[in-house]
Amino acid sequence: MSKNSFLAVAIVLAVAAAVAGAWFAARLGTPELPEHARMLSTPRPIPAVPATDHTGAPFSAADFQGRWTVAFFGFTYCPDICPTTLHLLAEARRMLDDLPEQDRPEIMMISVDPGRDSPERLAEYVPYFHPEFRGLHVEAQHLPELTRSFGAAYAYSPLGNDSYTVDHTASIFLVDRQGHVAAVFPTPHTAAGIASDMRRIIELEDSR
Amino acid sequence: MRLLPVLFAVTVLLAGCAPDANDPAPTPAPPAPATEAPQAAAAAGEPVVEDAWIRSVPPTSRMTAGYLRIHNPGPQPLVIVGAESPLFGSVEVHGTTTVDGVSRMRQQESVTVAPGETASFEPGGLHLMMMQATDAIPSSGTIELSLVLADGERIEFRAPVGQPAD
Repeated sequence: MSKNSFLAVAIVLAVAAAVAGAWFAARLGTPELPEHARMLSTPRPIPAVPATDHTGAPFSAADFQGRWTVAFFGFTYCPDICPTTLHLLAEARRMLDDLPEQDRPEIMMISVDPGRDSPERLAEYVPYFHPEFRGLHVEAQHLPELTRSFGAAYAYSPLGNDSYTVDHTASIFLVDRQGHVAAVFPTPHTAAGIASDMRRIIELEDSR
Repeated sequence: MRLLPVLFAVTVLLAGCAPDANDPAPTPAPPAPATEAPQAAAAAGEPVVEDAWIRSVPPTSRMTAGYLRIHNPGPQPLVIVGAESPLFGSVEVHGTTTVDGVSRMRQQESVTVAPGETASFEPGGLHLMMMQATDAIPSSGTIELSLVLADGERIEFRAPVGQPAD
């Protein structure tokens, strides 16, 4: 190899290394946007309606502050969508076990069936899917105000002779550390999709 | 394998009530020996239930959902009008639909599986809604179930209790 061609190869390699370095630096500098979740341009505050969690402890909107919460609306007499979602969220939550404690989201099922889902009933049901899950009981008169703030809907529909089922929003919601509804995960959901988007959203927040 | 005689009976019945006598329906194969694997049933044109499972639920729950795939290799539509299980007071065929993000679950009058087609009962879609458990729903093992067809015949099978395969 002549001295000139050696120089040419060295220059090409140096330029390639610089470009690659700059590309990686740019990638590291800008966290990626979530793939599935829709971030709200203006996070929505949650009204301070009285609620009780599955342990019987009072819970209010202020209790959302300080950590991420992945919330969805469901009910324990729901044999298909709700257990499917809880199972998937348990998987997603386990995928985030490596995060520092303050970044690990709390997973919450807010019951849209307060007539049947007492805190005791929620205690028998929700932690079955993951011991750290929280069930939330909101009295019927306060439920519309709460669901409205999330942009969620629910309606009762008769089922058989003396029973009923609840139509409800199946989207999953993310409440940020300020206690505001910050993102919506539209259906269909996957555990891996929710877990990877959670990481991206946390990185986005941390980069601000 | 007590399932096979029932399945064969279904085929004969379906073949017998074919609306078009000139339809070149394949001649049903002779019934498989009772010792043969379920695949033998498919070859004979009998409906086959596959990958059935029942969701394990918290111990206090009195309801759960069952899922399966059913293939209809026969020449006639297979019409499922209900389901039964000795462990449940009521089992109904339900369908969940999610429209504009809102999930609705409703009872289905019937589910028709066209000849050669497979119907999937899966989370977020068709499922067997199993209600009024007579006792605690087991968290493992298998549960007896039967699909009730429009002609009154039954397809019996057992489904394991568990969580969906990840």
